Parts: sequence; C-alpha cells; structure tokens
Amino acid sequence: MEGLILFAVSMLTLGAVYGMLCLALNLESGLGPLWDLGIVSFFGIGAYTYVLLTAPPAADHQSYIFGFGLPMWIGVVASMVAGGVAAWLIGLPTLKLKREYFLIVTLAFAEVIRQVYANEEWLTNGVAGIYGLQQPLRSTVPAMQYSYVLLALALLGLAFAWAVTRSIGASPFGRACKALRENEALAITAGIDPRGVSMRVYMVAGALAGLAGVFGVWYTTLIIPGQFEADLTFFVWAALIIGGIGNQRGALIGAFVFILLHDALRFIQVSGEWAVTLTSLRTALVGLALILILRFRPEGLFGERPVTFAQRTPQEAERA
Amino acid sequence: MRKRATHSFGLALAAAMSLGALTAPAMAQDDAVNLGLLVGFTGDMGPWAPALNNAAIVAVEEINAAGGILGKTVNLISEDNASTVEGAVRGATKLVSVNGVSAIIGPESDPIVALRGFASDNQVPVISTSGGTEALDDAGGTGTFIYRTNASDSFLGVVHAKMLLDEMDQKEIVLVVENLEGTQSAAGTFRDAYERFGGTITKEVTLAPGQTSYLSELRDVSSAEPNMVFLAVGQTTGVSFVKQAYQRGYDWTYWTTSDLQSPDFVNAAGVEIVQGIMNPVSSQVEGAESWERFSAAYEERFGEKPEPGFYQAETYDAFIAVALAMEAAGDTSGAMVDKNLVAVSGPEGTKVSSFADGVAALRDGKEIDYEGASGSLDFDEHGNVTIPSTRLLQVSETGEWETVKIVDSSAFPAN
Repeated sequence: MEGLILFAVSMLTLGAVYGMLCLALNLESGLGPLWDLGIVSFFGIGAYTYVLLTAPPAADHQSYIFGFGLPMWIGVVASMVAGGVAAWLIGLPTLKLKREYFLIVTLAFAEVIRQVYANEEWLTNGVAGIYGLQQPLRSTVPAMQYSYVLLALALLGLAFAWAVTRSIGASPFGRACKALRENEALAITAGIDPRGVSMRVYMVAGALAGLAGVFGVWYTTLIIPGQFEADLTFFVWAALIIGGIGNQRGALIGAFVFILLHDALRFIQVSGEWAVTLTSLRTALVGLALILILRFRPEGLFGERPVTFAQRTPQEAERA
Repeated sequence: MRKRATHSFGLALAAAMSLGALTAPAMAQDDAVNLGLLVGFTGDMGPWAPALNNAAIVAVEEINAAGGILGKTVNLISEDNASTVEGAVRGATKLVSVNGVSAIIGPESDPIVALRGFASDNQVPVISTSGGTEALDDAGGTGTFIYRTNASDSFLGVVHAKMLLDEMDQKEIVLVVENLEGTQSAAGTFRDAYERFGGTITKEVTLAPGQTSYLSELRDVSSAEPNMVFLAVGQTTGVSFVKQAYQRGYDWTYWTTSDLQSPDFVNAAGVEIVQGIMNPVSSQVEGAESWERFSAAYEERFGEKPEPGFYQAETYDAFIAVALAMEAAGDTSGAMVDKNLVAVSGPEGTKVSSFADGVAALRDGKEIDYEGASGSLDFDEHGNVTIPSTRLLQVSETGEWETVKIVDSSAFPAN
C-alpha cells in the first residue's frame, strides 16, 4: 500500500507542475484572448534562469559560464521575473497579431528558444544539459520521505498559481480580458486597451509558467533542452481541453486527469511481450479521451460558467 | 447551476473510478523476485526498445528455467520511460514503489542521469545497457547504485579513432555531426581521441535536426574535398543527408556511429546509396561461448538473430549479472545486488558464462566471474565496462550489415 501511495505522490507532484502550467495557460487563453502555443517557452526560461542562478560553477567537462550558486529562493523569484520579462519581449512584436497568427508566432518563438538552449553551450551547456541539481529542504527529511516534501512544495506552488489566477479572474482586469476575448471591437468601445491588457495577462501567465519551470527542475534534478519541446505545450493544451477551457477548476482537474490517463495503463500488468504494445497505447488513450470529450462534452469536464453579477431573485435561487 | 456542477463532478469521478478499476496493482509477492526494465518504448528510443525488451525476456526465461533466483520465480516488469527524464522518474518510481523491483535495468543516457539520486535513495541499482553519456564515466560503482554494461562514448571515441587510423589508415576526415546530445557526445569523444592519436579533422559541419534540406551543409562538406566523411547523426537526418549527397553526385565513403547501424537506415536510404558505409560496434570476441549461447537462445525465441550494436547482449548480461549477485548474497534486495555486482562480474574467480553455471559454482563455494554475451563484463570502480573486441560492419551489395573484420580492442586506452 505504501508503494502505491509513493507512486501516487510522484504522479501528483507532476500533476501539480502541469496544473500550474494549465492555470497559466487558462489565464491567457481561457480567460484572456491569447491563443498561446508557446507556453513551454516560459516554462523553459524559468527553469534555465533558476538553474543558472543556483547551480554550482561548471565542472571540467561542462562549458556553461554562469552557475552562481545563489540561494534557491533567489532563483525562484528570478524565474518568475524572467518568465514575465520574456513574455514582455515576445509580446512586443507579436501582440498585434490576432488569434491564429499569434498562435503560429508563439509556436515559432518556442522552437527558436529551444534551439538557443541546444546551441548556446556557453550559456546552457548545450544538449548535454546540467545535471545533479539540488532539491530544496532535501536534508531535512530521510531520503525515502522526500517525495512528500516535494509534493507539499509543488502543491504550495499550485496554490499560489491558483490564488493569483483566481483573483485576476474575479477582478475588473479579468473581466476586461474576457471582454477582449468575446468581442474586441466592443471591448474597445468600452474603453479597454487591447494591447495593454493582453500584454499584462501574457506577462502574468509567463511568470507563472516560469515558476512552474522551477518545480520541473526539482522533479527531475536536471535540465536538458529536450524537456522543452513543443510536445509539452500540446500536453498542457490537451489537459486544459479535457478539464474545460475558461474554467479555473477545469484547468486544475484537467492536469491531474491528463496525468492519470497517461499513467493508468502502467498498472495493467502484462507479460513482457505485451509491454511494447501496451505502452504505445498510452498516448493513444489520451487521444481517445480527447476525441470523446470533444464529441460529447466539447466544453470539457468542467465547462466555463457564466458569471452573473445581478442579485438573484428568490425564485432563481430556489431553482438553482 | 448546482446540478450541472454535480453532473460534471460525477463525470470526473466516474472517469477516475473506471480508471481505478483498471488499475489492479501487481504488488510484489514474497515468493517472487521482480526485476524492472525501464526503456523508451515511446519517444526517440522507440525503434530500439523492443529489441532490449526481447533480450530481457530471454534472460528472465533462462533464469526461471534454471530454477529462479534462490528458488524464487523472477517476474520481468517492463516499463516505459518515454525516452524523457520525467518519464524516467515516473517509471522508476512506479517500478520501485508499486512493483517493489530489486533492480532497474535499461535506462538510456538522459534517463539514467536523472535517476542517480533516486537509485541511492531507494537502494535500488539502476543499470544502463545503452547509455553512452560521459556523465556516467565516473558517477557509478558500488555504493552509488549506478552501473552500465555498455561502453562509454568516451571509449567508443577511442575505438573509432583507432579503427580509422590503424585499420583503415585514414589520417584525415570530415566530421558531420547532428546537434543532439547523443551524437554530439559521440562526435566530441571521437574528435578528442582522433586528434590525440595523430589524425586531422579537416572540416566539421553541424546539422540542425529535422531540416528538409542540407544543401548548404553539403556544399560546406564538399569544400574540404573529403574522401571519407564521419557521420555522427541520427536516422532521420542521416537518411536525408546521404540521399541529398547522392543526388548531388558526391561520392564520399561514410564512416558512421551506431546510430545509423540498422536495417531501417539501409531500407530508408536505399542500398545503392549507402552501400559501403562502415560502422565499428562493440562485440564479444568471435566464437565466445556466452555470445553463441545467447544468440542461439534469442533466435530460437524470436526467430531472428540479435543485431550487433543493438545492445541486446548488454541488456541480457545486466539481468544475468543481477541474478548472480542475488545468488551470491543469498538475498534479493537491491542493497545486496549493489554490494555483490562487481564481485560476480570478475575478473577474479571461476569463469562462468550462464546463470545456471554461475549458481552451481556459487553453491560449490567458489567465487565467480561472469563472462557475458556482450563482453567479459568486468565492472571497474566506477561501474563501467570495457569491450573486448570491435566488429567492423559494412553495408554489402545486398544491403546487409556484414562483418568485415574483428579487432581486439581490449588493449585500447580507456579514454
């Protein structure tokens, strides 16, 4: 039983990292008007910023010139700042673009950034990556218990992302985002600045994804460019669509359901020969779930709910 | 409103429950030993992983046919690491936490590097059978729970250099490398060794993965007028590159790393294009009993011979060595495997080449030295092995990878 719990803890930890990314994506693409296919950019920039600030200097066989060995909390804060600044920089030329054009450009940016990780060895140690990275509070508990600590930290991070995105969703700024999403022309007539609002929501999403990058590093204890491929963006989108785009709760549940779907087949024990077939079915299972959801429940497990600000009449309250 | 939310929640719950029903876990049983194979069934390593799985099946069936480990049946639990580091952490956690495996065999370069802390924390040996990364050159050994049964890229770099200089008399070469971890690592170690032993790399050209056209890179290569080109590239890029070179009329001789050494590469590029391409692979010495036995058993089980360079023998050896370490310790825990793995692998002790022989010798109170199908399998203090000989393969007129010669590489410098 304890074994199952430990595995569940590992899955939940990864689910929490995906959850942060889903919440960030939901903020810009569900609540806001931005179809972002480059969420992985900020995840990666946050992760690399954290690593370069906190990792020890390069060993003989490594070639990165940074590695300041700074305390972890500085790395955590810096990862969020870097995610936000990167979003600002990418947003400058791209936020003029609408929907599908924005989508294509962000996808391209994500790939360009990944090529930078892979090619600029002086900065990132290239495709060999940087490994053996420290985890926080590692020495405070016995090694076997550490996964619980990591889960607790990831859940804290998730709670933080939840609080930020939720308060934005409920604020006038959040409503401005929604207005832009629904009808930009109408939003402008209501005095909303599309550029400014989009930029701000994009930067917040970038900062949150950057923070998620730190947890990604703590989970794997290394960093390589291969972790930041476009696959991750699509996984996060799939999770968000499963959960329900535009709905805070949907984004959160979607991340965990996605991880569960992906790993459920690990529990079916088969003979060695069947293992090959079974594992290739795993990704197909996620695809099937996605098709079924889009067919029968296009709004996701938790669809977006209209928010009404008017006082309910007693009759309405009773019906609800 | 309320009703709809309940409905949504019900749906989520139903989904979770139906998954839960699927998930009848196979927990560790007291009368069985679980061994894990953790390889990339999906992702980049997908084309190679089934071969490793087959090798693991052969090993486990052989152990069980010989009465199991300490009389207990061995279960093989094959798990996917999706060829990623996250996948490796998840897969390893599942193998150890849910299945209670005593050892994890198979993770490739990046995956095993991600598991270094995991291995010692959980006291479970993790043994790579195909990871060449230099990060493992001094990371493993007794007490670290990290080992590998294949040769390091740094040793393969020496092998390439020695073969080219001593066997082919090739003093100059153009190096073409794809920008991937594995290929960069292989090219880097080759460059070091080749230049150290007196060779000259006249030009080095880097290929970005996944391009549709490599024409400007081809022009770059041809400007050096090479008579041999060293290809450190993956399959997809490799096929594009050699095809486009052929279409342009470049008639170079290719020397390649094991990345291209597969029938798929030959089929995809076409025999007339890749005929004559050469690749040295690590190999057991010709006619070695352990290799012949493994090869025959594999062919009987799967209807095809194991391919040199596919790391099947390395995977098989890891399973047998772990089983022997458990027999030597009289205990099936991961900690005991870590303590005894180096001892049963030699070089001191009675030489044995199968699990059954090893068990018999151990029961007679002897120390043993397992001679593997992949080589003598003597772990050094860092959990690494060297390879006894190198087999030079060349694509024949019919498109087969044929052995041209076998060279004793046991005296090559380690890096």
